[in-house]
Order: sequence, then C-alpha cells, then structure tokens
Amino acid sequence: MNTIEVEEELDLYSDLPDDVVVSVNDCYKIYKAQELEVVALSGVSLQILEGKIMAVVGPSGSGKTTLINTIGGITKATVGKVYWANLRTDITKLSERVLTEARRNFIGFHFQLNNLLPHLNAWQNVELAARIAGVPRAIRKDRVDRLIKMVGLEERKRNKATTLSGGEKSRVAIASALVNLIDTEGKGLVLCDEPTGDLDPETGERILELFQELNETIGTSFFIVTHSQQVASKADVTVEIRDGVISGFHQAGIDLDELDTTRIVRLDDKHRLPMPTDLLDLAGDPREFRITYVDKRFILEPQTGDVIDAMRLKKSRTCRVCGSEIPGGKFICPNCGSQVTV
Amino acid sequence: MAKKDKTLMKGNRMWAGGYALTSLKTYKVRNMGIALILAISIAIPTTVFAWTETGTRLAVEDYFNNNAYQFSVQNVPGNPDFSHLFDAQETFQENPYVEYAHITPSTVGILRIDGVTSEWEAYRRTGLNYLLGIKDARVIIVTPDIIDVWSTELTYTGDFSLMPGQILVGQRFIDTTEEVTGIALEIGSTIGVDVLRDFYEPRAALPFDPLELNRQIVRNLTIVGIFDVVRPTVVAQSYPSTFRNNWDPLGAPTGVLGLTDSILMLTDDLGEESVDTITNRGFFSPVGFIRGSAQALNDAGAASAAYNMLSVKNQVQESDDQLSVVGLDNIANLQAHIATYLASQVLIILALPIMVMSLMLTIFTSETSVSQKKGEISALRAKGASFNQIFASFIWESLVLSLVGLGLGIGLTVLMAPLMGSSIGLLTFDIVAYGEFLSKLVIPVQSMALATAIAMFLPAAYLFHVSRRIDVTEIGQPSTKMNYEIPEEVSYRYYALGLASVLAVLVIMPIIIVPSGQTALFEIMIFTLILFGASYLGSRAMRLVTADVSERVTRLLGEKKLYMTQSLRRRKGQFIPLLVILTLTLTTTTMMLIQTASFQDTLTNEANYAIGSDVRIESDEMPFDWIDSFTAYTGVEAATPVVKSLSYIEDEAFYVEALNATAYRDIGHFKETSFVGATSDEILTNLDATPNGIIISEYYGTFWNVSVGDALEIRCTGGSSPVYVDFVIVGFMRSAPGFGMASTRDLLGTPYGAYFDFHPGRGGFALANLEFFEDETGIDTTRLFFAGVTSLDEASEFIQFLEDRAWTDVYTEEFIEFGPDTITGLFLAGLQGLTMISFIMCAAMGIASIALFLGSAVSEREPEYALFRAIGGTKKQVISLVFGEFAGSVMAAVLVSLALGVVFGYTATLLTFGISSIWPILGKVLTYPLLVMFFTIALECVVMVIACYYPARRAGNTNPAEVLRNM
Repeated sequence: MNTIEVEEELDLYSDLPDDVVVSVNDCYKIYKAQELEVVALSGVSLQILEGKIMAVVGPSGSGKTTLINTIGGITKATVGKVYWANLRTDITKLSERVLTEARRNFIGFHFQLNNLLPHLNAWQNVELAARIAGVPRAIRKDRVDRLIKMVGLEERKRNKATTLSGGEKSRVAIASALVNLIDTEGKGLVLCDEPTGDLDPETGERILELFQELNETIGTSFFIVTHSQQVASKADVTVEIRDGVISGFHQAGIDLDELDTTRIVRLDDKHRLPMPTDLLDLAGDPREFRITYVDKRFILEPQTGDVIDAMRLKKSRTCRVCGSEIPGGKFICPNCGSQVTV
Repeated sequence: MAKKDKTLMKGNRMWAGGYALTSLKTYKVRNMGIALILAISIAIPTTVFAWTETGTRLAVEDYFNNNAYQFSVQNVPGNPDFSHLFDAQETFQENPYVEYAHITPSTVGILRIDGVTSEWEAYRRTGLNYLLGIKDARVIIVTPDIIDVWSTELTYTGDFSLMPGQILVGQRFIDTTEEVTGIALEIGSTIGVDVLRDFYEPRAALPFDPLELNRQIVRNLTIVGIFDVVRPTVVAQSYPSTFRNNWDPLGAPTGVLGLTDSILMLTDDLGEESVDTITNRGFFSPVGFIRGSAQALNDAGAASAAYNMLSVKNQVQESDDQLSVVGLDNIANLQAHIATYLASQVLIILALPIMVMSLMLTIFTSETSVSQKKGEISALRAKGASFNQIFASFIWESLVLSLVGLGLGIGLTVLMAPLMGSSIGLLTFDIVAYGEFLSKLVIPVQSMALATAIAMFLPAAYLFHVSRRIDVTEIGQPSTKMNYEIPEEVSYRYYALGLASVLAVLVIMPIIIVPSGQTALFEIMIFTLILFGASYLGSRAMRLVTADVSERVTRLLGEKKLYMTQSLRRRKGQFIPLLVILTLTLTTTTMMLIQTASFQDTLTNEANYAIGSDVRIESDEMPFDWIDSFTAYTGVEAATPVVKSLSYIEDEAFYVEALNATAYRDIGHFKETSFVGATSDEILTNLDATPNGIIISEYYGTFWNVSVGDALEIRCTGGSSPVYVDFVIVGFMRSAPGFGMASTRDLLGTPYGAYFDFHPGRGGFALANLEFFEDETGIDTTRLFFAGVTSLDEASEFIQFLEDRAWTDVYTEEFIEFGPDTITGLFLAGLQGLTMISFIMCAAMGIASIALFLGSAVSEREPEYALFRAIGGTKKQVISLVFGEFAGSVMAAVLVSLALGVVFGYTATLLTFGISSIWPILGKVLTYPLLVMFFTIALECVVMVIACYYPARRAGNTNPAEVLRNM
C-alpha cells in the first residue's frame, strides 16, 4: 500500500460530514447510441453513509445499474460530481489509472453473475483481488482465511468455482469483494447489483444475513441495487429511482407495497420535487396542481381540466379607455383601438 | 491549501505474468492449437532456408571430400628461381580459407638396376635418353600425409602407403622401363635411383661435367604400389610431361617425366639436406598444393564458398606473374550446385498458401480466444485489475504462446528440412540421407530472424484485439454471450457461379500470360488469392448444397432433418472459416501432389529426350569405327558417332551435327513434334538417301527463306582448317533427341540438356550425314556416340564396360537421377520434399482447426444440446446428430477440395515451371497420381472425421440440468 500526497488548491468537501463514504451530487448521465441520446441519470444526488446498507429499488431501465457504475467510477457522469471519501475528492476528473488504484481498497463489487473465474477455486477467487492489488502474501493469506471463515466456506474452499452452488458462489463473491476492504478501518463500500437475483428466497435470506453480519463486524457500507422486497427490507436506507430521477427515500426496512407510507421526497439542487408515480396513479394522473402552504403543510390539489387554456378562453376584459368589451385572447380594443396594459 | 494523504494501492506488477501462466494452463487445447498453427507459419520459410543452407554446406563439403586439393602453384616453366613459390607459400598459408598446403619438391632420377643398367656419363633432359639406355623419371618427394591425401586422387594397384625404403611408381614408368631395359618391374621389385639433386645443363659447346648434377644414389627401393591417372585431378595436372624424342630423333615426340612417369619417394630416403637442395635447385619447380578449408568457407557463408575459393586462387595468381596456378576448373560445378540451391529458395512461394492460411488462422483464433474472455476481463476489472494489468496478462500470454510457437516451429524445421534434403519421390524419402542431413542441419541466422518476426505476429494480433476489447468491456458483463444466427436463405447457385468464374480465371491466366521468372512469381501470388477465394466460395456453396440435400432425404434422416437443415444453413461464423480451412488444406495437398508428379514426369520426359538414345557416350577422342566393337556386346542394336562442328553461313554461327542417319533414325527417342511436316522415319531415311543432305531448324528455314531441295553453302570447322561444304536441305526440325531445341532462339529458358552440356549453343544445330562430312572435312574422330540397346538390363555388360573405361561418361535413363545431389534433381527433390511437408502441415492444421473450431462450436451450442436432452433426446442421438453434421461438413470439404485440387494442380504445374530452373522443350506433362492422391486424401479425411468425433462426444455429454440452470 502506497501513500501519495496530492496538493489541492481548494477543499470543496471540507464541510461534508465525516461519515459520508460516497456522495453523488446532481449527476447526469447521457448515453449516445446512434444519434439517439438516452438520459440514464437526470440530476441524481445522494450520500452513502459509513457502515450503512443502502438499497436502490426501481423498475428495469430506471438507471439503477448506471448509478452503481457511476458510484464505482466505472462510468463517468456526463455532468455532476462523485465524491469518494478515501480520496476526499471528486472522482469524475480523475484518470482511469488513479481511479483503478484508488478503487482497489475502497470499493468491492458483487454482481448477480458473481464474476468468478471458472478455472480458480473458491480460495483463489477470493485471493485474486488481493493479488492484483499487490497485497503481500502473508497478509493476503490471513485475510482470505478470515473471510472464507466469515462466509462459512472453509469446507468448500478448494472447490472450483463451477462446482459451487449459487449461494456458495455468492458467498465467494462477497468475500472477494471484501478482501481489500477488510483491514481499512471502515470507509469501504461494497456495490451489489442484484446480489440475490438468482437465488432461492431461503438462500437469499442467508446471504442477506451475511451482508448484515459483515456490515456489523467490518463496518463496510453496502450499496445494493435490487428488485427484491427481501433485500430492501434489510436496508438502513432505501432509495427509489425512476427514469433516472430519485423519486423517494425510505428510512429503515421497507415494504414495497407500502412505499407511499414511508416515502420521503427530497428537493434536488434546482428545488425540484419528484412526484411518486404510484400516488399520481391514485389521483388519476393529474398534470397540474394547486400548491399551498397552510399550517406547516404543503398541500397539492390536483387540477382537473386544462387550466391554462380555460384561462385563455374565459378571461375577457373591459377597455379602460372606452369601456367596451375586449374578447379573451385579444389585447387591442376593437372599439377605440387602445392597447390593454396590465 | 491543504495537503492530504491519499492511500492508493499501486497494484502488483508481477501479477500479469503469473495470471498469464494460469490462463495458459487452463485453456490447454486452444493454446496448443494456436501455438501449433503459429509454428506452421514459422516452419515453412525456415524449413526451406534451412534446407538450402544445409544443402549448400553439404555440397561444399562434398566438393572438398571429392577434391583433395583445390589448386596447385608452381613456377612458370623455364624459371629456375623457385623463391617466387616460397613467397607465395607465405601468402596463402596466412589465408583463412586455406586449410593446409602440401609442398612436393621434384627432380629427375635415373633408374639403376645393378647388372642391368649401365653407368652413364652425361644426362640431358631432352636427349635421346632411352636410346642411350638411360631410363629417367621424375622423382617426387612426398610425406606420409601427402600420400594419404593422394590415395583418393589416383587409382593404384598394391599399396598406397610408404615406409622408408619403399616407393610408389607410375604405370608409364613401368611400361617405359620395360621398353628401355627389357625388365618388367612389378610390385615387390627392388630398384635403385640416381637422384639428380642439382639442375645442370651446360651449353652445347661445353663439356659435360656429371658432378654438377650432384647425384645421390639411393639403392634398395622396393616398389609397393603402381598408380595411374584416370581423371583430371589437380594432382594429375600439376606435373606436366616433357615432350621429347626418346628413340628416333625424327619421330613424333612423346611425353615423359609426368606424373605417371614418376617415382614417389619419402623424404627419409634422401635426407633433409638433399630435399632442401632439390627444393631450391632441382630440375623441376616444387609444386604447392592448396587445400581449401570447407569449415572456414562454410562459416563465411556457404553461398559464396566458390567465389571465396576462387579469390584465393586469384590472389596467388595476381601476386606474382612468375607463378602458374592449376586447378579450380571444376569449382564452376560447385558454384552451379550452390546457385541451384539458392534458386530453389523460390519454392517458398509454392508454400505461400499454407503460410497465409496459418497466419489467418492465427488471427482468427486469437480473436476468438480474446472475445471468449470478455467475461473474464470483466471479472478481473471488477476485482480491481487495471487496464495495464489485464493488457499485460494478455500480452504475456501471447508472448509465451509465440515463444512456444517459435520453439515448435524450429522443432518442425529440424524435422522437416532433412525431409526436403532426403526426398526421393512423391511422399518417400531416404532414411539414411535424412539422418545425414539432420546431423549437418544448419538454420541460417537470417531465417531465425524471420522466424522470430513471424512469431511476433501473434502478440501483435493479441495487442490489436485486446486493446479493442478491454476498452469496451465493462464490469458486470455476463461470461457467455448467447446469440442466434439467422439461417442463410441464399441460393447456392450464386456461390457456384462465383466459383466457376474464379476457376475460369485460374485456368485461363497461365495460358494468356506465359509464366516465367518474375511474371511467374506474380501469377503465383494471384494464384494464391484465387485459391483462397475458391475455397471460400466452394465451401459456402457446398454447405448450402448439403443443407438442400439433407432437406430432401427426409426418409433417411427422419426428424434429424429439421435440425440439420437449419443448422447447416446457420453458423456461418464458426463453420465457414473451418470449411474454408479444410478445403484449403485438402486442395493444397491435392494440388501439390499433382504438381509434383507432373513436374517429375515432365522432367523424366525431358531427360530422355536430352540423352537422345538409350545410351549416350562421351569419351576421349575416338575413331568412328570404335562403334564396331560395340556390337560384340549383347543387347547393342545400333550406334552412331556424332561429330560436332561449329559452322557458319555468313556471320550466323551454328553447329553441324554429323551422324549416321539410319542408326539415328532407329535409336533416337523421337517425338511427333521433332520434325516439321514429316515423321522422323521419313525425314531421316531421306537424309540417308541424300549424301549431302542437311536438316536445318525451322527457324533458319524461315530466316533464310529456303525450302526442301535448296542448296546451302556452309563454312564448317574441319580437321585443321575451315572447309566450305555444299549441302542440300532435306527437311526442317523443331528439336531433335540428344541435342535439344533446333534453334536456340526458340528457347524460353534453360533446357534440361544444357545442364549436362548436351545442348548445342550458338544459333542451334543442323543434322548431316557422317560419311559425307568425313569426306569433306577429314574429321575421323569424335568424343560423342549414341547407342541403342534392346534393354538396359541386357546391355548391362556393355554399359559396365563403358563405365569402367577411363575418360568416359555414360548416360542412360537410369543414370539420370533426380536425387538432391544433382543440379537438375535438386529442384524436383525440393518440390517433393515440400509436398510431403505441406501434406503433414496441412493435415496438422486441419486437425488443429477442427479441434479449435468444433470445440468452440460445441461449447457455444451447449444450450441447444441441453435442450435436446431435456426434450427427450438420448445421449446417443445427440452424438449422432452432431457427428453427422460435423462429419458431413468435413466430407463436403473433401469433395470440394478434390475438385478444386485437380484444377489448381493443373495451373500450379504450369506456374511451377515458370519458377523452376528447367525449361521443358517438349511441353508439360500433366500427371494425376490417382492412387497416391486417393490414399493421401483418404488418410487425411479419415483422421479429420475421427477428429470430429471428440467434439461430438462432448456435445453428447452435455448435462442439461446444469446448462439450462445457468442459461
């Protein structure tokens, strides 16, 4: 492990709380595919806190995977900033090389596909990331042994990856993700993409329990993208994402059927508020609202009918000069020709 | 301003190398396949270069083994100051190309047999000595080393080694001694010699003082061997005879005191002091024999060995004009041999298709190999491997592979270069020659460099593919990619049409543009391109045809038909490249078999025509009636002497070849194309009937605008002076057996006969009657005879007699060998060797590509097989389904390539002559060695079909539960 010193002119993040591991600020990600621009993330802001499990739920194509890749520094946000606590800086401007090196002991990945190498056994798969990172052999061995024990694979550690069951693969994958984070006194982050996607509920449950256990013992944060109620229920914070916009936060474990009862929405940097679609559906998908603030409450009243057009049609005026009626939509008196002034 | 510590993990620099090794171990089959294919592209040029280099070295060594000395140096006649020689000796002893030099002093010795020879008072070298009873001889002072070397240069009876008190004498010495003394000396006889140590010859008027001769009497010398000279070696040429009258002052002078009229005596018999005296003051100049160093010449570059040796000779010659240098006349043969080897390097171009093919395969497999690792790259990225680390691991992997490939390639070269050097026929070789070649094998540095450069091709291909891949590979990619290819719905007719037009171009090309030299090379390049195009089109068409056929034979295939038909129409990605490779390899094999067989047959045809008759005899000058003695041998039918006379009409020079027309008519190996407008029988009978008749070349007929019956006055070289002879034209010819092309202007290359000096030079030749010619010019001896025999076996006694005869060369069909040690056979041997190598390499490549392609095809299609199993197919059914498809494809490739091979073989034969050193007079013979072709292709086919079984078995072993779960 090497320590390098980087001089910076300004510490933009000095006022960030110390327990922030990763902070995403107003990120946009636009993919360009054959002349067609797809906005995958549209002004996303969130903070991942030390030692917490954060889950992200949302329909397919809502930008979950893009978000996880942006946080992990694999794809760069088109606009916006991603702060990593270990570097105490915005990573979107960093080179691929620095990013790779900084990522090694800060972020671990755990995918639905597990990303295990078929020709290595469980122990070697866990060790691989430490090898790549250049961890000395003795430390490496110690860590891998500890992790293998933690995930309960001592019996199976000599088995080739292909011969492991789904749950075991998942355990190897999590151990592998943690191999460089385990000794870094917190501030590590494991990014999980559908970690229980292809597991049966029971095995999934056990994996999640393992996550919680590791989270408690090692203090590593987890950021989990999921469809699963099961996963979301274990999280400390759950984020809803829809069409690249964060549409709500939930404290503690959630129930996907009762999201509307636990949801908190947060203004984005431009003071915009995402409207939860399930509530809109309930209200008959209104397009306009009357907003008022009464008794420390914001009240949104859906407006039925086309408000603006109605206003245009109905509002006729009386000429201030000659007193004759000016039809709605006209601004010059048909009688005296004088202009309507507001 | 704030300074902060940031912890970065710089990563393990050594990881990439270690991981590369793990990865290599994991995909053994694929990696060995890649290495093998790379090795083939490395081995092809390296083999040809190693063959020519080693062959050249062997030729040089052979030359030095057969020629004890390369040249000799002595004073020019008449200069008694031998110091010139001693100065020169220093020069060439310092020369790196000289292995050793032997100095042989010589002087005159006079025979002394007690009680027989009388005492002499005076001796003059040019006197009538024999009449005076003085038998003089040259005494050559030798050492055991020299005797040892000479033993290979001279023929002898008795021993050819000397102890003190023993001597060796020449045959002529024995003969003349009997003439002078009446005593027949033989092995075991003891004589004495008066050795004249100082040269002394007083002017005629002065009295003779015998003491001036500084005589040393040596007695009791026992003759242990008698030698003779039968070939013009350097040793034989270095002791010129003195011509004088021995008995009759008015008779014709005869040669004496030459090598055969000499006594070889050891230094010890005379003593150092005497030898010194003779060396400096003897009757003859000492002779320095120079032995070139084969080792040094080879080390300095075998290709220029002959030139370097000549330069030593020139150096000596130019250093002193008082020195006479003899020898190195035959180094031209060595040079020609070396030049043929160098020229045969052009054979590489015939192996071009295989080289290109294997390089293409290398790119293709490396591409598949990298793309199959997409998931792996993604996993490594997730585990924190940087771009550089992954890149390095791939490059390490490819470097190791290319190193293995290089090693394999060199290994293949070592095994195959001797195959070229020892090839004696189509797919046959001589095991002894193989061992000999193998033990002397040298791979030249330049070709090692080339091999390394080709090996670097693989890392380059990886570099290209990997850098493209890592960039686009994101973290979290699935490890396998499923995609479904849309079945091809194109009619095979388009491909068939394309194939037909490509083949048409192929057949027409060498007819429109005559392939020779540079043009031939260029056409071979186009040929290679067409080969690739045809293989591609052929295999696509064949695939669709197979699909169509399997659709129609519903009853035979049953429910398999549905899958087979669609499957055959699909999978262009995997199958078309494989089929192209298989078609290419099989076509190349077929083509090279045809090409080599045709070349050999054409060459045999040419050789027979060049020899002219059953037996062609080149002798020393013999009278015409020598042929009368031939008929005494059984099996000899007829013979004719052939007189060659340089003749002119104005400035136009050509040769008149005078012979016995009837004999020639009966024994000559004529072809229909030999004469113009008449058969050989008619025209030669006509010539025989017209004493002053002449047959001239068609070219001259047109050139001089003459026709049959016209008279021609030709200035011929007669026995002593030019003679004007009047001839009458009896016919015209294009070529004639035993001579070659009638007009050298019709030659487009070097004909076979020219390599043996059979082919007349200048403007060509004309045929005339021998008797008439003898009358006109007075020539009555010649060196060339043609003879016809009933069969070579029956005339074996006759041939044996000729072979044993001194100064005689005899050529028969059997004598003309096409082995790699003859100049003309070298190219053929190279071609045969190359065919064998190509066969092996093509088979290896075919099998390797089956393993690579079908292996990956099976792993890609695992879900399909799993599905089959899941819906009730048995393991056996899956195997038979997959095997049927694979083997069917291979058989299709075999059929296409047999057809293609025949067409390509035809063109390849024409093109091969374009780059060969021999231009055929009679036109090319196309031979289809059906049996060899059948067996070779059948063998290759069987091996390939067997190779198909393994992937099929793997497909059968698909575990549906496992595969479908992971889908």
